[in-house]
Amino acid sequence: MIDLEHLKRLVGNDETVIAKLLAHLRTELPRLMHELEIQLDAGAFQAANITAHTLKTQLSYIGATDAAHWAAQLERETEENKVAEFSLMQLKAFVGQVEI
Amino acid sequence: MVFFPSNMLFVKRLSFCLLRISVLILVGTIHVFGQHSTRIFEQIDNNREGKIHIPSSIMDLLIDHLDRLWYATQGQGVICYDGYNYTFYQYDMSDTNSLSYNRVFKIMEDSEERIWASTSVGLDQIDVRTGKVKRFALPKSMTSIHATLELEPHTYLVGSGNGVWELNDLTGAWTHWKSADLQETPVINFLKDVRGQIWASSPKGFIQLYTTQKTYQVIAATFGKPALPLGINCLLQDEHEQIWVGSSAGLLRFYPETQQLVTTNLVDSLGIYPVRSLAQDNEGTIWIGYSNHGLARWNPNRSTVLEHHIFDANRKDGIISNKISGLRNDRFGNLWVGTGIGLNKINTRPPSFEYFRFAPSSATARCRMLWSMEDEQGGILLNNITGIYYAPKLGDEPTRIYYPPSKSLSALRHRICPNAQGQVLFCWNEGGIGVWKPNQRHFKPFLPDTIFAKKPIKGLCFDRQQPNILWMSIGTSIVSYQLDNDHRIWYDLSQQLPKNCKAEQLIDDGKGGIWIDCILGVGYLDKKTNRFLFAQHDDKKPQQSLASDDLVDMSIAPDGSVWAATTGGVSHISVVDTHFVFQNYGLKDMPNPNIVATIDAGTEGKVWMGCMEEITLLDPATGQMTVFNIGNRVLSGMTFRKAFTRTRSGMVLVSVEDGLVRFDPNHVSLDYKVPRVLITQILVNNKPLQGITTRPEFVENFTLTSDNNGIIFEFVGVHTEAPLFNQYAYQLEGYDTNWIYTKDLRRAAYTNLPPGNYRFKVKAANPNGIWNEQVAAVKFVIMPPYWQRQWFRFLMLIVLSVVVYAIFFNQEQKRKLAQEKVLAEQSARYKSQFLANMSHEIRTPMNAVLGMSHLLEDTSLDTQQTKYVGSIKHSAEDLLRIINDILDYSKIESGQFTFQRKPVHLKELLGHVEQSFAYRAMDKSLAFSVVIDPELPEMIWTDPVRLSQILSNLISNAIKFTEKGSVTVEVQAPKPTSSHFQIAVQDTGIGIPTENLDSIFESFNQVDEAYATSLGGTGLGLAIARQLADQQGGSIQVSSTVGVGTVFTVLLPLIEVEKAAQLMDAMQHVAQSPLSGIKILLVEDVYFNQLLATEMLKKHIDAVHIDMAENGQIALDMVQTTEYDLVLMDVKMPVMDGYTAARLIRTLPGAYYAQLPILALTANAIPEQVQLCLEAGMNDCVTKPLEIEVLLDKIRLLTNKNK
Repeated sequence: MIDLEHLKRLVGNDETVIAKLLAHLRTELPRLMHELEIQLDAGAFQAANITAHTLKTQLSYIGATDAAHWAAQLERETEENKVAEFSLMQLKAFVGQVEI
Repeated sequence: MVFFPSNMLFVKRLSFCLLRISVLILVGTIHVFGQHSTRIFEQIDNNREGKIHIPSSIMDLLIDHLDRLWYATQGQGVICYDGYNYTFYQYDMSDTNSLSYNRVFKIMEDSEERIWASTSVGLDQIDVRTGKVKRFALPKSMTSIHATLELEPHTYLVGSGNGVWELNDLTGAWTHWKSADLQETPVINFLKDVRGQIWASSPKGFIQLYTTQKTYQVIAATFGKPALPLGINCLLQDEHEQIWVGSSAGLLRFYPETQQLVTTNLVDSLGIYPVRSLAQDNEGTIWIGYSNHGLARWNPNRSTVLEHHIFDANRKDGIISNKISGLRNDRFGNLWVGTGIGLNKINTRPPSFEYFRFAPSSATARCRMLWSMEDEQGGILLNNITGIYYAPKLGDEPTRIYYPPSKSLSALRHRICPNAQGQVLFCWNEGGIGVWKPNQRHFKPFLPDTIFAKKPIKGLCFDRQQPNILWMSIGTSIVSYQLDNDHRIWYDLSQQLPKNCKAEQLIDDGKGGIWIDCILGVGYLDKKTNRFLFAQHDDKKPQQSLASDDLVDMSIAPDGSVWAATTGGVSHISVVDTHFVFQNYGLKDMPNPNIVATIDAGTEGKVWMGCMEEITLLDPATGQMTVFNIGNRVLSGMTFRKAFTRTRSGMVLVSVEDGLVRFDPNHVSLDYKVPRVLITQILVNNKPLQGITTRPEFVENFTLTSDNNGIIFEFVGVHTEAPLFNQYAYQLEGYDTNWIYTKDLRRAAYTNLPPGNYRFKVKAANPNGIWNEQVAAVKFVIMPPYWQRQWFRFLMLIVLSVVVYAIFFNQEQKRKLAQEKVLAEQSARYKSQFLANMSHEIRTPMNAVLGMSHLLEDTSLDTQQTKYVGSIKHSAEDLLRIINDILDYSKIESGQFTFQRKPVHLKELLGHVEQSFAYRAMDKSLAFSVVIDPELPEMIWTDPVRLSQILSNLISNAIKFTEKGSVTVEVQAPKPTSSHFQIAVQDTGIGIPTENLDSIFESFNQVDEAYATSLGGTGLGLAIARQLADQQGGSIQVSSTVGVGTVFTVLLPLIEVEKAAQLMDAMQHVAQSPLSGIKILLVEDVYFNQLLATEMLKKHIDAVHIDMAENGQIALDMVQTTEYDLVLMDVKMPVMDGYTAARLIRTLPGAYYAQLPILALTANAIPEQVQLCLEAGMNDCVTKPLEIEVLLDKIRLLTNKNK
């Protein structure tokens, strides 16, 4: 579930921009998720932290609050060098529900 | 009669060898030369082993089933004696389980092993297992009690002063038997004969009882002419079923068939004396105890008096009193003699050793006897330093027949010898040889002293192969002297003998050799070859040489070998070919490590050795040694060498201190009666075993705790002929692997026994070394400490399992909790989102309701309608407030809450707050004031709405929960150590219980549900206030006292306080200025953000120029090449983050870099992050997701300010 109202307000309801942003996200979100998974597997917490941060921001913009929440959770955990398998699982689940 | 004082105590110094049988044979008979033999009476000394000596008149004796002796006393109650220990049963006025009185007439053991005591006041039953005494109440008509007899189990006959009574001990019922003549006759003793017939004795005569009819009849007894009535004291049936009667006129025999009492000839022998007690010994003779005439032994078959013992003040080993009140014979042959002043014991077993003691007045008794010899006529020659004595036969008083010259010492044994005719030859010290002439009772010259030039002859023996040759030792030579032709052969041994060696005792072995005692060695002369062998002790070959150089005595064995007694042990020496072969028995091999002073090997296959205080028999075939301690210090003087001699009949004569001992080496008998062993004491940690109801003898098992692991067992072998010489062995099963032999030690001690199951067992042997294999045993358990017990281990296992499970469970719980937490957070967000949505949806119509109610209020309404509209409006306002609270809270919870900070005039804000609450406080008559610290700046940088919201929540709560008193708001400037200013809201309300202080900030929580319900509210106010304070980097704390009041203290940061006014002015200016034509460097690594921000800025800022940098490093480079109005700096980027880039830009030289506006783009608007941005040199920050208005305001402010 996404909510594009906020995003629309930001770009002045410019559908073209919205479409452009969403088009980017369609490829970007899976890439980021894949990257995040690899980084966590490799224990590259700093890189994973940045990826989670990126995800969190983008998911927030499109109103995917649950997914954004788990991205934020992952960001916090990776900041503390924690293996965040559960959060990753949750994040994947919620990102999977994001239909763009 | 002449007696010699003797010590009554047995010799104690004994140590028995484990593998050898030790035998003690008491000298049962002492013969005083010229007198009849007599007995040694042992006086049982109550003072032994520290017991108090209690002289007491003994009334009766009893041997119980455990062989213990019981005696009834006239004033000391009942005493049980096991040979070592005395157990007293006495009257104790404070204990009803004690004896009824200490004057006890009779004692009896019943079939249930209980002891019955007839006291002068009652009848008592002693339970020997517990030591408890049960008293039986007597019938009032009973005059006194004398005797008891068990008729059948639980039925007892009692002889009283007025006849026979019957008692059932279970019911306590008494039945008085009637006499046939209806006369009440005192009954003082009972006898149940082998046919079951019961007889009784009475001062009035002999009594026959009829158990079926429960009656009895007196058979009058008379004596003499004219017939005098006789009183009957005691009764005895002997092994031939003859009934003997102790009467006031002596011993009678009763013939049941004719019911006649017949006098015995004892009266003729010893006179008419009342007989008090009777006993038969194991030899079948009868012992008669007189009331006042001592003790007699009588052969009933021959009707002869064998012994009569009366008190003799000069004799300490004689009977101690003529008043014999009780006699008992035990299975060991001991006859216990109870007297008017104490207890005597004699043994009736025929003795193996006879002791012939010199009369103390005789000259023979003055000095120790050195040797003795039987002459050819059976006379006895004896020698001590006072001369030579002669007795025609053993037992006769010796007379001195030779006085030695003053210069000479007494003759020694080896200087006499019998010739083939049995004549005794004797070497005079002065030289020459004499011969004893028994008929003439003097010595005659045998050989003149001139034949050897008056040289003293030290040894003498006849040649056994050539009886006409006499061998003599003279100095270092031995001489073969042929009596018939005066031919002499000298064997000079001086060259073969070491220094100080001389030839003394000579023995012809009958095989062609002469054995020579050389004082410091042994020599052997082969008569055929004249070869001389000599041997001494060799330390290097202790088993292949003489046991010691110091030779004491020699004796020839039938096979021609010699047994040599030395101070280092005994050597058996054989000559094989041309050398000696030794077999040694060192002192360590002896049962008692005593020097053997004399030795006799004359009995085939046996060697007798005379040692200090004992005679030891060695069986060379087995190596077994048997010690015969003949006791009573008889052998205490037997340190003399060569004290053994043989009579012509083969008896051994032993010269001892003050007489002779004679024994037949082929007929020394052993005692096969073995003692019963009892455990008499159990000490645990040196204290008697606690918690048992029985006496130690009857304890079968017990249990101890682990700290009671020091246990001592004491035990006795009950009696025997000489109990002091009983031997013991014990084993603690579970601890000892073998029996431990203690000799005469009667104690076993164990310390630090580990926990476990044990069985202590002990056995005893009689003084002859014959063991009773029936052991006394007791089982016990030492419990392990609780941590070693099974249940504790099991418990530990359970606990461990629980702990392991708990850890696992805890981990699982943690995992579940984490999961639940996540779910709860998720759920909470859903809830918040839902609430936000719902609140929004509700608020819209609610605003309509409020608006309509306002409008309605302005219309013309009557009073009732105005009231209704007022209620609607009031309710709508309450509902809206609640909705707003919920909305706020849900926003906070879902992270959608944002702060709109701006310069705020603090005093103005507080003034508004004060005004808005003053009215409400006034409504409740509460004093309300707001106190502002003058140190506080007028303007502060904060979110005024949220600050007001915090204050409103706290103040409204304070007013709500305060009924009287005041509500005070006090605002204070930051303390020197803090960057936070403080707002304290203090009330005098109901207060909050301490236990609730932590929970009051939880959402939907109200301390007093009932009270809160009455006052209304959502329970969200404090939760919102805390969240608002927390999210601004502040905090709220509370302290409260129930009934006194509450203080809520809010701490909030002061950010850029000093610049707030300027910023406010700038903002006012900026707010009105349009944004256009500015050049922005957007530093953002994420394409989506770049695109979004670019599109946003382009949409809202005219002619905006935007450059893009993908990280801080690129931005740092770009600001140095291009001039920008503003940098929008993401903080989290790869390569170089925004903080670093900003910090480095600020370090670049030039005012431009110092003043270049940098606006941070952060994902979190928390104060810490804001602070980080400011510290990095950035001017301000906006949070993502970006809000366009906020962003534009910030851009406007920063770009204008910069301009």
